[in-house]
Amino acid sequence: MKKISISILLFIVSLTLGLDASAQLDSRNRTVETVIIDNLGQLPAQSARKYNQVMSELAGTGENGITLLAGMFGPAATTKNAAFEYALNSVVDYVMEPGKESLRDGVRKGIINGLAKAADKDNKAFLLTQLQKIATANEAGIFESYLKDSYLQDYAVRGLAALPGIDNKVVDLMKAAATPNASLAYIAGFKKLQAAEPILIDWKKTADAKTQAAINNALANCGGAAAIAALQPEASKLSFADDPTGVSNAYLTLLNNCENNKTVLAAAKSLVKAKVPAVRCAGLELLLKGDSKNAAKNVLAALKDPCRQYRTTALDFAQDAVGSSIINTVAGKFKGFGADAQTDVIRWLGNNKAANQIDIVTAAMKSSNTDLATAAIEAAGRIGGEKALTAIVGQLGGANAAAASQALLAFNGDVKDGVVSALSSTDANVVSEALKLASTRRISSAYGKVLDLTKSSDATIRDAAYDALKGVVTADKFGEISQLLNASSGSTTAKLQAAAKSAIQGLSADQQYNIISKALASTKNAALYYPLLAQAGNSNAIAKLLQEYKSGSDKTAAYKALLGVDNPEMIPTLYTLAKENPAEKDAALARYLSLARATSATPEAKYLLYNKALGLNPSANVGNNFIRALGDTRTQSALNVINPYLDNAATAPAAAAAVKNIISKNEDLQGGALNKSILKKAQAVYADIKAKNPADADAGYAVDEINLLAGKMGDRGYAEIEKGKKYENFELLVDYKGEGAVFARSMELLKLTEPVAFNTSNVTVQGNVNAFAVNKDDWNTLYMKVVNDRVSAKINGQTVADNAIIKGGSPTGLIDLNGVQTRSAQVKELASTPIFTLSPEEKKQGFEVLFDGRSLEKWHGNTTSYVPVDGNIYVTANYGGNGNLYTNKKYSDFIYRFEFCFDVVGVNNGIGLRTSDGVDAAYEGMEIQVLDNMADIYKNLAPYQYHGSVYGIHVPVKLDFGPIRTWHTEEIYAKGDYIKVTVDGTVVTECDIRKACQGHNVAPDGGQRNPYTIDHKNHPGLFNKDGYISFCGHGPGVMFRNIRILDLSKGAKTGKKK
Amino acid sequence: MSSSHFSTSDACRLVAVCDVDKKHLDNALVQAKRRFNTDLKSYEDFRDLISDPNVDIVHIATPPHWHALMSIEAAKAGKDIWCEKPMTRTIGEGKAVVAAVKRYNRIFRLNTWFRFKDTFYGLGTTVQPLKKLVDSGMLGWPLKVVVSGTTGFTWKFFWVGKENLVPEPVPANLNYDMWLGPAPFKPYNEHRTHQTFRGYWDYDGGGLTDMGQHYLDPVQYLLGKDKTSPVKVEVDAPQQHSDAVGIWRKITYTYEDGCQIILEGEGFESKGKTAFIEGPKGKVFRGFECTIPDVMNKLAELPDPEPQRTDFLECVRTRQKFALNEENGHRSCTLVNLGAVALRLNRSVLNFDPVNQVFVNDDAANALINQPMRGPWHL
Repeated sequence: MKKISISILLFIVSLTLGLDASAQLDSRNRTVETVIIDNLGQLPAQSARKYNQVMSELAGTGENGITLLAGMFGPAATTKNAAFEYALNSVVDYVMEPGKESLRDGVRKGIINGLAKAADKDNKAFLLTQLQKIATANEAGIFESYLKDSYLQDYAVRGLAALPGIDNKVVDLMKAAATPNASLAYIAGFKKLQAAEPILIDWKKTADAKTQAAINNALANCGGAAAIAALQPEASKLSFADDPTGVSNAYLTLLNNCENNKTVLAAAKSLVKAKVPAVRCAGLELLLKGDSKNAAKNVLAALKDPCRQYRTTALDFAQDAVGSSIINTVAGKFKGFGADAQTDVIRWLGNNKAANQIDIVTAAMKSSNTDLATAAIEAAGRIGGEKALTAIVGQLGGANAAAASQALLAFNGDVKDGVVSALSSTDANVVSEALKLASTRRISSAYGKVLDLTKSSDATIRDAAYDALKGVVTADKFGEISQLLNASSGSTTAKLQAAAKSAIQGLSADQQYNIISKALASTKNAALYYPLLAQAGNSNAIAKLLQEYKSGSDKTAAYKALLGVDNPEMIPTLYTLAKENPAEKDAALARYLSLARATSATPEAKYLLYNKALGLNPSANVGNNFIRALGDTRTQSALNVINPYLDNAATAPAAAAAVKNIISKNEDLQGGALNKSILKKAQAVYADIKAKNPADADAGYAVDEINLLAGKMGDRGYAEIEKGKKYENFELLVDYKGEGAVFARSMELLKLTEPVAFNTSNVTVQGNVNAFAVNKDDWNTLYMKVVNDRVSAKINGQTVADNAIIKGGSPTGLIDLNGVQTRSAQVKELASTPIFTLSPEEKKQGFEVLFDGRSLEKWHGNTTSYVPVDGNIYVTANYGGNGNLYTNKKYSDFIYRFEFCFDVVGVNNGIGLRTSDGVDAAYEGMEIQVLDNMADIYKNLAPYQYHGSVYGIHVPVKLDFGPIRTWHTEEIYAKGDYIKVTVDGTVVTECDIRKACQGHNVAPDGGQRNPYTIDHKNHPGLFNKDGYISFCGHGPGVMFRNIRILDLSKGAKTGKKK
Repeated sequence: MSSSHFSTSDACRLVAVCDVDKKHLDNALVQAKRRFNTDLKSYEDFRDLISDPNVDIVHIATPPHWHALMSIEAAKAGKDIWCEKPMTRTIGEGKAVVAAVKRYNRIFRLNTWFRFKDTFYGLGTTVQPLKKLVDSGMLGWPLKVVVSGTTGFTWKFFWVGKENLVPEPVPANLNYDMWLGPAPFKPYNEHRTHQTFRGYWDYDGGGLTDMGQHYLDPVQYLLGKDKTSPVKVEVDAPQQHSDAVGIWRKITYTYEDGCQIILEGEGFESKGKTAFIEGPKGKVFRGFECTIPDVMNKLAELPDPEPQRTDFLECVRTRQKFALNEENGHRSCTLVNLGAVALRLNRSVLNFDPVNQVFVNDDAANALINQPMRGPWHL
């Protein structure tokens, strides 16, 4: 079995190192070289499954294979190395996954061999990078050998830095170095090598400035007390400021990691006297950390410092150094600090939500120092609580009202009570601010109070109160608001409309409409309610607004309201409005677009909507938005519509973006002369943008992206339908209007009627037929695909039927759209299907073709999963069929010839003989097994299940199929009890089925267990005289072709068949 | 650096620029003259700019492989830092920046802003009401967030690298050695540098790292994950090249509490209507369309999320942490880098320990957390 053969292979390889690798074969009879080549062809892997499969095979080739692979690299100037890079980089990462340790040795050795042989320095660099990922301590010498190579030394240094388990080796190298060595210092630092400390300190005596920097950095990472002592004098000389040698930073880093408080404290005392504030801050952190006993005292002292950085550092580290008691300690000394320090402390109290110090915070709000007062307001908001709320509300009327209002919006807790009480304040400013808050926070309990305030004698308060109504109103107050609205004038009207809308906003559209209708009945001024109708937005509301628009008192307001309706029903209405009012066209179409985009319609249906709107010629501004939206449909139809817009300067950039969007995102459209030319035009537009503005990176990149895309463009694509041309396999795309029919291959296939349907005299529909409404008076878009004997169709993106079968007819014919008006009718011609014909010899013998590559007309059963594709029967899971495929005729004695191919690993199918509909051919008849018995998943298979077995009855010779996706020939010879199966010229089964079970196809005792068959099962149909030949499907991924039969029971070799 | 990174105000003046490409540097000087009428000091070596005593704040707008080294260098010199996204190229570099900024008490701003302002790309809403909704508990817990074309986010898959690059001569105006800095030396090809560097793992990681922090930082904020990281990252992608960044189909992050963030690559979006956030009790879609009835009114009654400090210069003045700083910035960048590591190694699943910030039982993945640098550069 496969697994075993691989391990045997590895064993052989390890014994024959140095011999020609190509002599070794894997379980599919491939040489190591073939395995590498096969797998390189599959890179980059597109799925995890494929990736694991390829990497497992590559890793499995071991040292020999990886050596070969590493030897394939050439100089980048002349070689495309990408496939090799994908393979080698990933195989290393793959074997470095946990659990794959056993595969690492071969890969590692292969890389080492490749490195030794590589001539190109960049290839060596790549291989060193790979080795770095997989190397062990044993490979230290390899990296070491490149330390003196000026080009590769940096790769060597990184390798040594990353390599585990070579600490002693690094120390030895350092000891052996004649002069201080920056690279070795770096390696020691990266590894945090404590043993390197004395050497590094020693090196400092003689090192030059550049090397000093490396040594200091290394010491920062691996040094201890000795390094601190060694660095101190230099750092002190610099007053601990930063310099190119980095000595001060190293010194500070070490102190930070130092556990000896005495050392830390001594150092900290001089650090806090440094000049650079940042260094003083670092020193203060050490001071607090190194002297916990005096930490509180030191924090208090620091708060007297004039430098804010220094004070905030003290506060930042205070709780860590002292504990939470420091909050009370600092608060206790608050009055003794300067205003700036007080501000720092207040912010700190707020950040820490120090609820027990709220009194200090609220007191600080009253400070004349704005910084301090606003910091206090903000801090109180963060802290929360009743006292904080009252204090902040008290600030609403003062100089810091904005800050107070802000703090209340984000107040830590419920502000309702505070805000409501503020509404009764005597300070007009407080009331105004409180009204805003009541509205924002939707404090409905304040409604009555707010309503009272609309009658205030203070105009500012009145205004603010009307404004606030929308936030405090509820549905039950609609009547009151409505009355106010009816009587309103001037600026209060809009405010009351907002309140009325808000009151009913939570209700359903129908409920809203009913309420509004009642209000309309009792008002003389319907226009007051337009915004409300727009909000309700149901069909009735739309109708009412349209009526008002045509004959109401305020046309403009009605139009505006119509544009505000958020309901897809508005889309056709907006189109009409745009058409009828050129002056308002843009506004209506902009709204049309936003509603259309938001629908869940198919891309094809959206294409129709956008195309229709563009027909009204909106301004370039609105038109460009339609072009972009067309781009998002990613359809050929959209591409056709966008094409001319590339020629107009005002629309070209949007059109180019849409073209790129469509072609890059839809692989089906990546081909054909038409799309190539459209893409080229789009590229020219981007090139022009880039030329005019060289800083436009996106345009420059788009030019590059289109270059890549152009490289992917194939030959097949949409083009005009050629008159008089006979088409075989194709995709058809057409916009049509009216009723009629689609003819193809000179037959009527599809009736474009209501509803659209296949012509069932010519087409057999399998599975669901979808009947849906199509508006024959408007443009519709049809997509139809005809391949072999299959046809699928979609109208406006909705599937009419998939995988329907065309009954007979000519294999090619004209395409014609009968009776309908069309625009942009295009066809994408697909590859012609190769037709299988008998060899002269077989013809003479009287063979009959059962499958010619194109049609399953001689078969019945599961024609849903068995589909003619590229001249083969392909078993697919795409259409959800199930069951088997049967010949139309029954056969008893015959020679059945065919070819098969596994498209995926692990295929399982079978050829049923002398069987009938809907039964299990293996028992009701017999089944000649078709199975990828090489696949790992079948490694525990019973031999009577191998390919070519008479399933359960006879064990065949086990076959080795080699790589998947190769074709194999098979012949089944059946004459009475004699069955012979020949695969690729090898007889794998030759048996007498009656003798194979000693005549007992069922258990003589009538039981379930039959001692006479190999699978110990009953095979009641084994001796059937005749029956269908079938394919016994077990999932997708197998192909059959060239199927023919010689019926031996009916005067064979006469060549006469009906 | 693009011109959009230029700014000047009363509180803050642009005084110097640095670039390793002479052309870009000269162009910057011309633009500064034209826009602000000032003569800038110019440097080729960032260390010289950092040690310029006139400089208080540095703005790092280089490719990501330089972000950590420059941030740390600036911190050591006592400068405050405004750094472009992604914050760092590796998780290890991110930790080093966090340590340096803390040691020297610097103010650090990572430059993406959707956690506190602006409509969140194609989502059709700012993040604040979403944060409020999440914090309200109305959606339940744990939550699943989908960052996809269907929810309004494009992953810019045009940032892919090219394979089979042919060596080209280095232009005279470019200091390529300094451009590479800590990155491994590879022969020059124009496509590696300037506008297309994002397509190479040595410097960045394509659309994921370009847009990832813009898209994921707000999600991390929404889920309240500013101090932690996922325990698992799963990737579905075509095989990645060692050098050139490719595309991917799906990346899934899972947190210890079951919250998930799902990224869907361009062209591989879920079909149909997809919620941006989905919880056991409700979903919210683009445009703040929510399955919870009357959600806006319910939310209006609740307090806004805790205020964030979003004025960088004010933070520099008051020494308060910026809303998006080195710590939460490092955590959102970790999301991006977790995905990059899984992609680079073609691993379908990686498990991560968010406390110690290491991968669980995968040495190859951990080797990508702390990558040795090209000399003389070091962390």
